Amino acid sequence: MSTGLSAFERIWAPRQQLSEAMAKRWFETLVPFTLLVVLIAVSGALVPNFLTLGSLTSTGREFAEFGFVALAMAIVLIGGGVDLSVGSIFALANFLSLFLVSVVGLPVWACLVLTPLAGCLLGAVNGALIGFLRARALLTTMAMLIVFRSIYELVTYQYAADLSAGDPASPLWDYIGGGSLLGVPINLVVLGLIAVVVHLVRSRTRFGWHIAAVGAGRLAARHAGLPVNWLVFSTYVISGALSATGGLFYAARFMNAGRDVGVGLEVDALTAVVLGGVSLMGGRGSAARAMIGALTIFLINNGLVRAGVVSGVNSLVMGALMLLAVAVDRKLLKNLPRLAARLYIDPAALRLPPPPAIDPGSGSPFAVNFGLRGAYPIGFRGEDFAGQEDYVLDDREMRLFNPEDVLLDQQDRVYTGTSNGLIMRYYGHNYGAREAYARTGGQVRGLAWAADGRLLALVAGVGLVAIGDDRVVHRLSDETNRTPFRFRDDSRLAALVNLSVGPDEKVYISEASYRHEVHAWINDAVEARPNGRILVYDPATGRTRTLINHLVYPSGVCVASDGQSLLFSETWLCRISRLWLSGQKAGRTETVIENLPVYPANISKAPDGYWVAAVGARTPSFDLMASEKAARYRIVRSLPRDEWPTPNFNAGGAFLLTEAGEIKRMLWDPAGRGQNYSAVTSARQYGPYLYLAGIFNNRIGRVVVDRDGDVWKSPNFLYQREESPRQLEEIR
Amino acid sequence: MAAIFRRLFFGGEQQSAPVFDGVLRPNQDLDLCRLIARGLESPDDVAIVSGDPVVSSGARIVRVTGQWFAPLQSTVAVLDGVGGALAALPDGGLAVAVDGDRIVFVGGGRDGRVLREAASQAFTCVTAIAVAGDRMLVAEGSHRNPLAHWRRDLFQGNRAGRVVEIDLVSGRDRLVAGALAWPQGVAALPNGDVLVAESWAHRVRALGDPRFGYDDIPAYPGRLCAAAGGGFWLCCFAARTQLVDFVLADRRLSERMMREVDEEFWIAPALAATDHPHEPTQLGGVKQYGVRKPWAPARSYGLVIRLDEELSPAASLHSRVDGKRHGVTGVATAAGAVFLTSKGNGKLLRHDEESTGDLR
Repeated sequence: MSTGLSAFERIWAPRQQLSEAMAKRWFETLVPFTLLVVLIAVSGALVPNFLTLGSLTSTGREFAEFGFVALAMAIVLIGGGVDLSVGSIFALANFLSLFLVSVVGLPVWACLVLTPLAGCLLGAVNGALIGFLRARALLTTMAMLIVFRSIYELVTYQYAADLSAGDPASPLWDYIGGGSLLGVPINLVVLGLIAVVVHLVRSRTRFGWHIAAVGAGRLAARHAGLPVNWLVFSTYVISGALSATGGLFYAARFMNAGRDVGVGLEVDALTAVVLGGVSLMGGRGSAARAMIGALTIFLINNGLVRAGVVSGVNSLVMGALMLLAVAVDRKLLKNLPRLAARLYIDPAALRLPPPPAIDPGSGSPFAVNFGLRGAYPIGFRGEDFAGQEDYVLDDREMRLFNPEDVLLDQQDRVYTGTSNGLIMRYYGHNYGAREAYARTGGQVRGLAWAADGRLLALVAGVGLVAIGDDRVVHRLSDETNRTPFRFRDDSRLAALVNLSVGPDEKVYISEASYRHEVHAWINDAVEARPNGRILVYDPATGRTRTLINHLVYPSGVCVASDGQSLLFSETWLCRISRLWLSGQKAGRTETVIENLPVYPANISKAPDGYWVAAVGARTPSFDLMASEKAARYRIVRSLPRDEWPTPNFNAGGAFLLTEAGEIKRMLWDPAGRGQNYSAVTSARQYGPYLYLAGIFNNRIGRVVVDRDGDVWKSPNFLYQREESPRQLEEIR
Repeated sequence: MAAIFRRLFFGGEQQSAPVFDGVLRPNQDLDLCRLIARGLESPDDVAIVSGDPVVSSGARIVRVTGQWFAPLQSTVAVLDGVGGALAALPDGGLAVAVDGDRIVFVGGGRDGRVLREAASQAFTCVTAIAVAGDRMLVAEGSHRNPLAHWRRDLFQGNRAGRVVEIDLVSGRDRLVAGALAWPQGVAALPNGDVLVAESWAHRVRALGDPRFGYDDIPAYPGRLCAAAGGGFWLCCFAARTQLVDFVLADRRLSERMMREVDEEFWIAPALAATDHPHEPTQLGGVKQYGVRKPWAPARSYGLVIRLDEELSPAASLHSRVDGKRHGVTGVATAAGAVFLTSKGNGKLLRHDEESTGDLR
């Protein structure tokens, strides 16, 4: 009989995959990239000879000049500005290089240096006005667009005759204009190199990060101590240089200083980079995105021209694309994290067969009883003792909150962790004395003794820590190997629950979920997906690796008495399994018991078998809900968290599991008056005492049990505090 | 179309169970009422006979006097079924609904008479009886389900209830209204009209004048009783929760639940928390530090609303989720005292009408 999640449900989680992919930085680029691929495919299908080599070469040569301008625009946008004068700078550079080569007669290499430098100078005018004089980027560059364009028209008018008469007659000049490197147009090669450099500078250098920081928030960048003025200035200088380089290549190719050179280029470039995913609001974008956008716009432009549409239609399409790009920029990119968060919880259909009976008269080992009623509370009250000498804790801090696990040392002192990050120790007569044993900095979950006698603890947000006699908290491990083929990086340890130390001194750790933090366990309960894993920490190497992956909320983990296998519980599956660590069956996993009527949590060794804490009881209504994933998804989206259906965590206890996998007895503390131990997450037996910790509780419970797990009932827990040796003898 | 538009632009479904605010702001007044008797077996309704409260409790009709620590209970009558709705007759007798399918007269001039049908239709589930002069108004929750399966009727979305009027003198009967959504409370208005509380529709309205009513009650309204200073007392036997409303709206889910889960453990309103491990639980209801939070989603709840003459709520008494007086089904007034039965917790309570306050 197969219970729980079907193989299909284990794998099929499209919302989960999508949501995790959305959180990735590359996802923003994915949309424009897909558009581009579709466009290329469509163009290849519609335009004859589009994908032939000759066509590609000429198209590429044309594209490169536009690419430089787009790159220039992208850099300014990332820095939080906008540069509308790129087209005019392009035109001026075109004129200047022709002038230098043809009229002045400078050698070509000097022109190659001087033209970009002139571009820098023109950009510097923009940069100085905007960076230092705090002029508005849009108006300033628009003014400069007009000024540069007027200068261009004046000088081309002046030198029209000289330009058309001149001929550089230089092979280098011809090579720049029409040459190829390994079959790729030379200007495209240069563009590619520069784009790579820009990409690396943007993503890998301090300068690039600073520019993005200024773009994302000028004031914040200033408060962070960045030289904002200089950074803004530099973006315009770079923009000028790149635009001028584009103009230079244009000049070499066409040898023409016509009136319409570079007209409208700024609008095309702006549309391109925004379509590619460079945000208009600044701070977001990359060279790759600029190139994707530029290629898209270029192909559309080119396609329309080849299709022979009227020129007005061309502009109309560009305008529409610009609107689309702005809408995508503002709506999609801004809301992407929110969308990802909304899709994040993706429930699976979990079908469990009807559970065994729990009615008192049913004769089932799970029959409800009041075995844990009247357990002696530890940590619930008691005399105040001072904390550690470095700091003073007041009473409220010392109160016990949310103990997940309980542990005793050689001197029968009780250790437990709290949700405010303390490891508390209770000792003395009736455990009336207490002290904060250590301070960890996160919610403390599982506790265990290491082979070297140190106290091991799992701490939310910290990892596996060890505490020696000096009470200093040492972090042993906080990461494991990353799961292949998973979008989200799951190498950081998240919701750690329980641990067990094997005879080989290795520490076996259960991580309930890589997707949801400890406090968000309810999300995992709603999801019921194989998000958890069991890890093993090797003290010899100091490294942690994943032992079993894709488990459904593994919480309890316990090295079996023979030391050859590992028992673990999968809470939402109501199942306990055994993994063989050594021997003939090493590496194999087998089910010990399934379809429990309760949700199993931590497992610990008992004199004959294991104590398994039952954190809650299955309810028919939640079993029904668990199989209805669509309803659960809608509940998560439309109902407040407090209204979400859950298993019944107000009932539970602990049960005794034999080595053979049979249930000997379950001790309950059902809801109602006098219930003190709900949501039991840990049950450990020391001698005749069974200690209980519950994650939603504020006390540790203690009852006296016999060898079969039956509770020795005393009429009142007040008399159960200190059983006399004779009484204990009777119990044994 | 509107649904698609809403899903696109306003983030999916909107659950719109109204909340307790204004006059209905939660308090502990019901928990502070004087306790007259406890340990009663599901006290369903209460009536006043010669100044003392009489309660239908299981198969018995019990007269309760004294205090909770020294109650004086005397059995007025033993029925051949489970007693439900109760009404005092002008001649000193009582009309009792037994098993929902008959009305038995106890004491007075009609002692021993049994009424099994009215308006040429047999009773199946009588939920409330009100007597005004010689008129006896009988509300029947549904003709599709017996009284015990009231949750099933809710999840089937039935509107199969009716109100009939019986003239006690002539014995003539007539149908006042049909196709009601589980009328659990009925009362005569001073102008001769009939006031009905429809539980599944969460409203109280006058049958003759649809505009005269109280809508969008954040609870399941039950029995009604005229208050001394004008207006009415309205018992609400459970509170609405967003989860129950969600399941009700999801036909597929509610069909599966009706088919596969025991009625006792449905995600449905209840008269009291049973503490059974199979009881449905919600996250807010998980005990923290051994305490059930009063603001948790209410599987069971205690609520009594005082309505003024305009049927606007004027005051309310609450027993919140951590309270012990849930599932109030019966109400009766006598000489400034309001007697309430908490069917869920087996209690008879007394509230002094004076102390309701100046109609907040």
